[in-house]
Amino acid sequence: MLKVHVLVHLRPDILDVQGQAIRQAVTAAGHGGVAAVRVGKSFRLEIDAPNVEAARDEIERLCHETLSNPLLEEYTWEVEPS
Amino acid sequence: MSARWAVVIFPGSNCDRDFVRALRDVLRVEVVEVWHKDSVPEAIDCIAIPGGFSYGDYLRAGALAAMSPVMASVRTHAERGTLVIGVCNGFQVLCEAGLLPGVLTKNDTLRFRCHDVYLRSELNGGPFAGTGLPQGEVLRLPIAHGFGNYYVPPEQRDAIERHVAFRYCDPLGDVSRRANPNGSVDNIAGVTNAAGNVLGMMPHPERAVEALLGGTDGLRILQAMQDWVAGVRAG
Amino acid sequence: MIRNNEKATTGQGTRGILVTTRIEITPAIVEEHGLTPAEYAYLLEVLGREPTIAELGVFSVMWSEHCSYKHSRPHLATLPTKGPAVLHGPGENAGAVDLGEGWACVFKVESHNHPSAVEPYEGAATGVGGILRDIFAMGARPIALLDALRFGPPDEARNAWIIRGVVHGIADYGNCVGVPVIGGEFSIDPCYTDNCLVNVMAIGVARHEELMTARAEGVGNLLVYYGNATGRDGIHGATFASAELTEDSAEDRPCVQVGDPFMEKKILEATIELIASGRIVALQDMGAAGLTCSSTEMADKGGLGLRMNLDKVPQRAANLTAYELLLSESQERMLAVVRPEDLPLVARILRKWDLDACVVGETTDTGRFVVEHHGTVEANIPLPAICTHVPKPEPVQAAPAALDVRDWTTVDFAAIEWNGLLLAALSSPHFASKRWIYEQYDHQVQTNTVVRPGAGAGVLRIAGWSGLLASTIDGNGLWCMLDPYEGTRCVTAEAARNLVACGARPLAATNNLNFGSPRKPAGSWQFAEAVRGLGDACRALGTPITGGNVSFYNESPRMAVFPTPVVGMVGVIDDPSRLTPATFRNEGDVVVLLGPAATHAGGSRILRDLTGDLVGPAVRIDLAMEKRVQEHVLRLVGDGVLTAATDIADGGLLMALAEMALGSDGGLGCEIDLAADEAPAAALLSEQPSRFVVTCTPGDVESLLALSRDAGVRAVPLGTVRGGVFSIGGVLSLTVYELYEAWEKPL
Repeated sequence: MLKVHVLVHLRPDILDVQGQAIRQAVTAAGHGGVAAVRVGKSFRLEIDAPNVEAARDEIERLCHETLSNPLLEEYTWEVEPS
Repeated sequence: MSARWAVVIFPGSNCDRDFVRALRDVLRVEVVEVWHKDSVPEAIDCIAIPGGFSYGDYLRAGALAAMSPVMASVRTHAERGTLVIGVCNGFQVLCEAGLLPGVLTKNDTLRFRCHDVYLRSELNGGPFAGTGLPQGEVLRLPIAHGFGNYYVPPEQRDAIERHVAFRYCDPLGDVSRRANPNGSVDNIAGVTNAAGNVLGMMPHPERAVEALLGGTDGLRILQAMQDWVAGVRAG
Repeated sequence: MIRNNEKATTGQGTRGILVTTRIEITPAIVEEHGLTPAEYAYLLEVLGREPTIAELGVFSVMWSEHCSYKHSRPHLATLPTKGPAVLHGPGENAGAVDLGEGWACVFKVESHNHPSAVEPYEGAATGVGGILRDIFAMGARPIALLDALRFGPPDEARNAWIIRGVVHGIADYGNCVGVPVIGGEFSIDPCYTDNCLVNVMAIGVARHEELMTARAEGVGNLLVYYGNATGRDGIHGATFASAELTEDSAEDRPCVQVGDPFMEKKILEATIELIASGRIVALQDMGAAGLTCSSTEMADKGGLGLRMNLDKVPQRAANLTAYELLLSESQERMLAVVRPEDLPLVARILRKWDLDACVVGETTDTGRFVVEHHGTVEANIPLPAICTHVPKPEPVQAAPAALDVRDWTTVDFAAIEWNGLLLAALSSPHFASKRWIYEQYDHQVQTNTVVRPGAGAGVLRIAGWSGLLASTIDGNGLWCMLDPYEGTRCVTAEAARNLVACGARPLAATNNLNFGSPRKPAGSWQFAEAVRGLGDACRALGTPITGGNVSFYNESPRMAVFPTPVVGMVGVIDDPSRLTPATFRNEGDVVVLLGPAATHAGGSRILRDLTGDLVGPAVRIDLAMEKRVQEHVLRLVGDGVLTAATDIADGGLLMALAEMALGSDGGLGCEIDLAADEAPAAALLSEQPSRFVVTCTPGDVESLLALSRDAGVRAVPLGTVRGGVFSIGGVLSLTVYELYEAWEKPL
């Protein structure tokens, strides 16, 4: 079983209203050093494949077509040690 | 002869019954309810994708519904020219399915918003306006959404400009920042596809069809669709 | 919506217990389960042996106040529960009343105070889920929610966090399921700082023949579980086994209940389809004490027994023990009793909604609750011992609460600058516009909302029925602190008055009784007095109680909440054209006060906020007078004399007038003159009951006054509706715009 961790974030050019609100709140709470906050989603997948190479296309398709909306979001993924 | 309507129902749809009632009891047309695992029948003139939280909107608003079996038949219908109207979650579904440009994201207020808004119609005739809803006319319709912030990337804006159907405005029709409830780009509240037969909009026309409940402006859009179908049939 | 990003999380509620069946039952464990030595002795007598840990857990929850009403039952038994309109009174999942034309209204209120104080978002959300399930378990489609919320002052950061979380939780859950919030109340007082009150009322409708009950029938019928799988959510029993606590993983620990509104929507639709199929014998949701309470109550009501196999229960955590499976309060779970031959059809309907029909047991004729797990009998208990023959607690010596009350006449009214007082009150969180709240609720979904939230009672149409349904929820802790008996009578009357003001005939009531500890003399006394007041008022007003909820222990070491009975009420507007607005409608209309003269300003919310004191004397009510005034207003509505009506409650005449102005389209205000001999403080601030502010056209004033004279109701013309201005002669002078600026402040 291949364990894959996918992170989806808003693209850098899209205003992250949640992140902005959180940054303001933590700044107000005294964490003055927090310059930026971006909020995203994390997915942990278990894929039935022998290795990364066998699954790479499927993971890419899944991320691109389903787990993110490319108009708005970008993603990264990595295989976790099992 | 009046149009034959289909209302698509996903698990989590919650405006499906309202849409059916508006069509059946107020517009008095023939309606079939189509479950998400089925296909929209062939002999349908208008398809409504209602609001709600299809599949809980647990991935992105409308994203899971966009992948459901029924959407293949909606796509076929849309390509063939059948009228399709997606409202609220239905708009989100149509965008996620690629039947409409753009995407709907979190309101810039970060809150769900439920209240009446004013809309300026940008439609120049066509199936959703006909002759009863002139360009520039101001409608009053309710919104109820947390993810109604319409976004298209800058490079696509020119291309969709001609397909903007409604913009949030003030009661006098002025499209201002103040009148924008959710941060939508260019105050866009509704768009059509390039062919003009698929409309998505965040405000709820099906909720504004009875004076008892506060307004009837929604009827003007639904009636235009009816009239369009009748006109096409008459040839 | 993706909701999880905004959720506030806390580390509370995760103190772990790992329960195994091997635990020896020590006196400490018994005590940790909340059982007194006498109760435990009774338990031993009932069983004739030592209980297993699972059995101890079952007895503990079933004998808890929440399930058994052991402290409150003797008092609740005195409430009027019968009436010509009552179809189902207390004892079912929710009450039901006849609306006419074959329609039934099902309604109930329930609290989620303690969970909301720990995790506001999930606490409130799961509260909404629970009350909705009570409604659709009765066979009714939920059509509306009302919420009565009470918090400490939002200028304390923790209170603000709780407020935002609760509102957000209610919004996300109700919006997703698609049930509109059409009204409610939002009240602020320091006494709710440690214990917020989150009471949610749900209303459903059904045809009479669709109503379902929770009484199992027939031996050999199947217990069908559907909905979410079971986890370790919300297991009671707290810290008792901390000695046995392993430091294992967080996964083995009980945790805060989490709501899944999408699942709720699916089980709602599936349940309605199941009931329509006619193949369900009985139905109950798994709420407090989960699987245990739902199964045993249905069986006991039918005089049956149960055999259950916990191996069949869908589970989403590893290594759940029998104790945990029996007591888990995982959300969105239903339990139906189904005849074996109907199982295939039931399973087919559930499958349509991507739900599984899990047969977890069957009814027997033994009268016993027999539970197996991994081939071992983990519980074998006579049902009556946990459902009906619950040990009675030692009565607590009731004694009045010690109060430090300041008389209203000691307030320095000469120093009050009335313009400033009104603007300050309007901008206080208690009185300020609630738009920021109700606009987060989808209050129009289902397209029945005739009167939207914001002013007076919520009003719904029901397709296929000729009338309109009005509903309200009201409480006033301050009145009840000063005098729980009189205060509760006044609260009940206010609820009825809210309905009457919109033209509705009050039909029946439900209640949520929020109190401190019943084991303390003051709490015990307050509760007894409040229930006595509730009964008196409901009898006098002809509104039977069809159900309710009790929430005790709303106290912390440093404070208890004011005794806060909350009354939910439904009423009928027979002729929809008589729906009367609560706000000014036409310039030039005459403003008239109906009801007795004010004699004092005790109990005033405005004086409480101004002074920080409990300002007395208590508000009292003459119920015969109340009934007379209400009937008179309904007659005036029926005759079409009134253009608007509202009742006078917290904030007095001053706030009633301001709210009539603020809710109006187009900024209508009024010019008012008080009688020369009237002291403004009592006239404007008094919260004495039985009073309405109404308007009529100038042409109808004479007839309004004459009709009032004939009815024996005092009627005093106060002034005129005017555009833009809000003035009270010699006292204050403002513009409606100034009122609006102060009032419309989102939190």
